[in-house]
Amino acid sequence: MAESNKIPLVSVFIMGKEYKVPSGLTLMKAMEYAGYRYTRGAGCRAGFCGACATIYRLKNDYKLKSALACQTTVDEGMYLVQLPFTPANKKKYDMEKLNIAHNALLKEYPEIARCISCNSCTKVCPQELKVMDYVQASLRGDIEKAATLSFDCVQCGLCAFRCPAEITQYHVGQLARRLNGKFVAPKAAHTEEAVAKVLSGVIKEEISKLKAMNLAEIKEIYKKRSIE
Amino acid sequence: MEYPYYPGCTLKTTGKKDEEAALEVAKLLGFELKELPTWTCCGVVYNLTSDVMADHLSATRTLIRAQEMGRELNTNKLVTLCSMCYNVLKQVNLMYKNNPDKLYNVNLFMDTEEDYLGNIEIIHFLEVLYRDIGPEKIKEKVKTPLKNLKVDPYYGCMLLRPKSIAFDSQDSPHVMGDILSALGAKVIENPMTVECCGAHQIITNKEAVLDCVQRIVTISQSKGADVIVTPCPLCQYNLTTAQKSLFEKGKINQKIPVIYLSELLRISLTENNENYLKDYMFIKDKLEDRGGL
Repeated sequence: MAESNKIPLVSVFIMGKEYKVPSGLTLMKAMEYAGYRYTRGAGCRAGFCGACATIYRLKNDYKLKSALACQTTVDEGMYLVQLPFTPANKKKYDMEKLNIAHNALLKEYPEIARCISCNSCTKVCPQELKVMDYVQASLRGDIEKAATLSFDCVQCGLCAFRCPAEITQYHVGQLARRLNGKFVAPKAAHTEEAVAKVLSGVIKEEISKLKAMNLAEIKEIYKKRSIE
Repeated sequence: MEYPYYPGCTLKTTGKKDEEAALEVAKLLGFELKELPTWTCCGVVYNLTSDVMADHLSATRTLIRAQEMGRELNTNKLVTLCSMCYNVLKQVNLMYKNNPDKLYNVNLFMDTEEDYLGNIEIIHFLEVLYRDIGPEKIKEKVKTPLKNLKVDPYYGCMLLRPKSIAFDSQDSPHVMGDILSALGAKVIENPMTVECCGAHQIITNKEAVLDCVQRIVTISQSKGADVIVTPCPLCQYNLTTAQKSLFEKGKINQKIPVIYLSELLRISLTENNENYLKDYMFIKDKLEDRGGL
């Protein structure tokens, strides 16, 4: 390969030790390139599951930055580390016994009253959510707003790591979305129709038909299927 | 006239009635309270520790939001309805005015917001009514005079303490009384008007609140008041719930209704107020000169 076609290498520091890795790799790939193996803290590798939350620092910058390791590429002089898991408090609750009184979220997660609005959670969020605002909405019982603002949360847990008030924001948001879905948001008519259909036994009939078919018959109906 | 308005958590939960009434009263008097698009809790209490800045962040953020909205509306005022929020926001604001170094530090910390310049003026809804509108103008707009109604204006402590943030006399405030007189009500003088209702003690030491409230309502009743009027959601809550306990314990022999000033204003400033009176039949009786029992 000609020298000019080579992918340039960048220096990164993984837990303090320097490695040369090809530029353009994600933080996760760079760690793997250097010989680390992810057994926890990796999931979909597509930015959706939130398992690979990580913090890093750039050379000559005092700030600790945050990212999803599968979504961010390496830069020269980056200091990397691996965060495998957030051991955050998660309440067990029975959705059937909850309500949407103004203190519904406060009851399950009373620590939200400790929020001092420092905004550390918002600053750290790799999804760029307004985390502090949804905690504040939760505090005053605005479940719909808390659910909407936290909708794109991937439950990575970085907010809980940074919070000086020890709030587990992402679990509060999850409860808000559950309560919103159950009590506040309008019901989806097509879902109810589909559930009714399932309960009426239509699908059961179809499945038993499929089960009774041989391979050739299944292949035949597969070929004839309608494609949207 | 439009004012940037900060509701605070209580006005969205246990104090909803106050907000609903106040927003309507504002319209009836020709101004509008425009809620800040995003806001956080005020901080609940003003932390007196001189070197803990973190507890002032909530209030500071609200001051910045007021600064942003103030530019649009061309005003440096921020209106509150809750006395507690008024107290905290105004004290934090004053602290920055007296300590520019602290303002400098907090601006360095809050690097995702614009700098707070220290120019916002925190005012309570009562101040708008009294200073910007005035009792004379309110009197002109009265549709239902509150004749025969004996009201006891109760201020509580958050609007008038400490002295540095008080907008009326700390010993004998008159702002609320003047407004109620303009509505045609008979204003009772209660020496307990600026005493504390027990405030947050309701959570940790309910007995303390019961003692405070017993003193306040006993004098109010002995002076013949029909109703206690307050601008503060926490006072309204404490005075109402504590009276229930006091009554059950036999420490008071009758309960006196406690309503928000905004509610009474709405009743008086609207012609068709049947809907607003339905929860307060005793007021209706008084207005129609039926003496009750």
